[in-house]
Amino acid sequence: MKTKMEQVHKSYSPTRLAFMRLLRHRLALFGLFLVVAVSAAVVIVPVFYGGSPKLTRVWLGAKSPGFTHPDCLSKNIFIVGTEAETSPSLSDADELIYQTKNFSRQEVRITTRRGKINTIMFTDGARHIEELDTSTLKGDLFRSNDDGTPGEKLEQAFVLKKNSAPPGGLFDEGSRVLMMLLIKADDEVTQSIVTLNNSIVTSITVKQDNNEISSEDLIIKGREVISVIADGEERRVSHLLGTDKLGRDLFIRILYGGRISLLVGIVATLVSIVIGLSYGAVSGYFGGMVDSIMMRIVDVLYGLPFIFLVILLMVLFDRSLILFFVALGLVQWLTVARIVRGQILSLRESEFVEAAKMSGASARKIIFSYLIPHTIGPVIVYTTLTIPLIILEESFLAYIGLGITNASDSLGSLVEQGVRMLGDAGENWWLLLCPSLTMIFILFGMNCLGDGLRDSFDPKRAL
Amino acid sequence: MFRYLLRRLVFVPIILLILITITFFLVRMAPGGPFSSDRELPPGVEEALTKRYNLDGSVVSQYGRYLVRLVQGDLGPSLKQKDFSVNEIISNHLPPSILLGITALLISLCAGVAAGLVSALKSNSLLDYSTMALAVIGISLPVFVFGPLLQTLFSRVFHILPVSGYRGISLHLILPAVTLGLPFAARFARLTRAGMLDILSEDFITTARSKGLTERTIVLRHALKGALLPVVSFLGPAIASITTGSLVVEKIFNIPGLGREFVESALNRDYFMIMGTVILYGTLIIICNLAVDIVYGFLDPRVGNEN
Repeated sequence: MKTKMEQVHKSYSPTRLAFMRLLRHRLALFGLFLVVAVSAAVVIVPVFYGGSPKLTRVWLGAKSPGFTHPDCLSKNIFIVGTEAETSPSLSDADELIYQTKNFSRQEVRITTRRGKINTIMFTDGARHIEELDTSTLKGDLFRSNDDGTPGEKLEQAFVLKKNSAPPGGLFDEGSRVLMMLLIKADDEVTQSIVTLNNSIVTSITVKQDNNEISSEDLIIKGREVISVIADGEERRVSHLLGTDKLGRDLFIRILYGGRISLLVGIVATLVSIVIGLSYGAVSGYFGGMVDSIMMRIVDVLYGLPFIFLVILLMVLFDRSLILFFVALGLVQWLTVARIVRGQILSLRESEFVEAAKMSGASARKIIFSYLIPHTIGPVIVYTTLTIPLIILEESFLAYIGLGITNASDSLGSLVEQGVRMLGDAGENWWLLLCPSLTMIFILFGMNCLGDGLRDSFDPKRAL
Repeated sequence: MFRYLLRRLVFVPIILLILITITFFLVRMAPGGPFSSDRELPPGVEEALTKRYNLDGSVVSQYGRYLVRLVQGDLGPSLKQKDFSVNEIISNHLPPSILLGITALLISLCAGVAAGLVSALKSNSLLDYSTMALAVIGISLPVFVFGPLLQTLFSRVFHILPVSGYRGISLHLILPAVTLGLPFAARFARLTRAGMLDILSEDFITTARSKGLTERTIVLRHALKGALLPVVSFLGPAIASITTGSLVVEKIFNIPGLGREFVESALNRDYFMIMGTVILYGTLIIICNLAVDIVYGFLDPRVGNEN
């Protein structure tokens, strides 16, 4: 009791008091910590971690967290006298040694008749065709795309028998011909040595079967590489949170996705606050007829299913970042306008406004310099509670396939991809879990913080 | 009260007209049309198509003709699903959406209000804290994370409930409705708790206590009505959000609802289908808001007596 009395005597401003109460609110502090930690990570870590969210390594496929592999791209191109095209992290090395294995490719063509396997054919390039009655497919098996490149990887090895039903899930519904690629590793190891001078290729030597061949150009495919040694040091890339089906590093994608999500949340909220604050303040200050007309408009707009208009905007027009900000901000400004108007309505009768009027201040000056600063409390509360709402709304749109185009994926689109790539038995769980957790951390932190702020600014809880 | 209702009713057609107008011109302003595809249509064919579907003449005259037909209850033909009218498509796909929405709303109301009451009556206990922490998680958990989670747990691991699909009122409805209802249950719980705590600190409750009434009577007869006011006033926005949420839930659980038709129609520039769904959802939301306001008016005697 005594401490309470003392605090009343030391008169603090209401905002100061609110922040003092906030510091005693444990859940809010936890929320603040979460928000600050995630935002800091999202902003700072990409600077040091390097890599791009769009860098693909298709041959890698979806790999679980912690997976490491030799540091190389899908295609590393070296031509004597030109700049080397390889991992950027290797550009300062003077000597690169690649150990590679060759892979043999076989095309497998399976046809069915009346639901049973009719022919099994192997082609090696375009020449050699072998037809078999039974076959077990060993090695890495891919569905082939129309252009002959490996597509979706088939997880298990298949046993195929003529005149029996093909294994389930192998054939798409209605199709009778299946083209697959069977890729087998050779035992032979080739060593390619590339010397560089300021990332310009100076010489290329290829060692194979004790033969040494110097060459003018060299292309190394990522999937064939066993190890990369730069200046005597083995270089590997590790993926902290694993990779997705296109071999993109999930950690980097989450960091960049978090950036986009936070950006959308913050900017769209600011848009809504700028519009709502001005509208509500004008309406509340002038009162009377102006107020009832302006608020009637807000009531009418409140009744519109805005999210449908947002979806329409997203579908019909170019889904740019700016449009996203505007569309999501437009939905939210109505609430701000109502809150601010209520505040201003009670403030405009107070003595300091009267005094300002007496001294000849213009309506604009009174509204923007005297009245709006007084609404800061509710507006801060509203901001922290609206940002997570907008992040959630953006992720909704991303989930139904209407995310932002021409930008890196937001957390919402990452979660959506995670759901799609999860697999029947949930084998790619990290693709869903990691972005979801990041998103939940942000939203949970923001909501806790907002709740704490609301409690702190609530005059009923004042000392 | 009656005059207040009348004033609200007058606004319904105005809001609808604004909605129709915005949507109509927005859709027409967008690049691309329903008949534009990779294949070049012969010049005669496109003309015939536009004439047949009443898409000839200026946009303003089309707007006028559309309104005239709309008043007669005709939402026009679908431009993509050639054999169906918009009325038919809507009557096929609306029931699943409505059923899902109502079930989700009921589940979230019951669960949310109950949790909020328990939380308020045992305030500052461990039960209160854990319920409220769960509520914040419920608000923060995106529907499309919660849905697959439930599917994995109840269908793939325990095999209790069907994974997806729609069979009317059946077990298939449980998972989608719970998924859709969770965030709203969380909000209702928080609102109920806050409302109840507010009311319990009012003077008239102290009076009731000093009269020696039992706690049960105080809560159920005196406090509950007032405590539920914030819940009721949130029902309006909740109904609007449930329709949005159902777009996502319909996709997760493969329910043939109207949400998917809406997104499809917008992607295909199926003009009349877009208009039809927006008008339908708009009307639904406006009517629900109106109903909520009426209920609120009955619960709170202060409403409608201002003038």
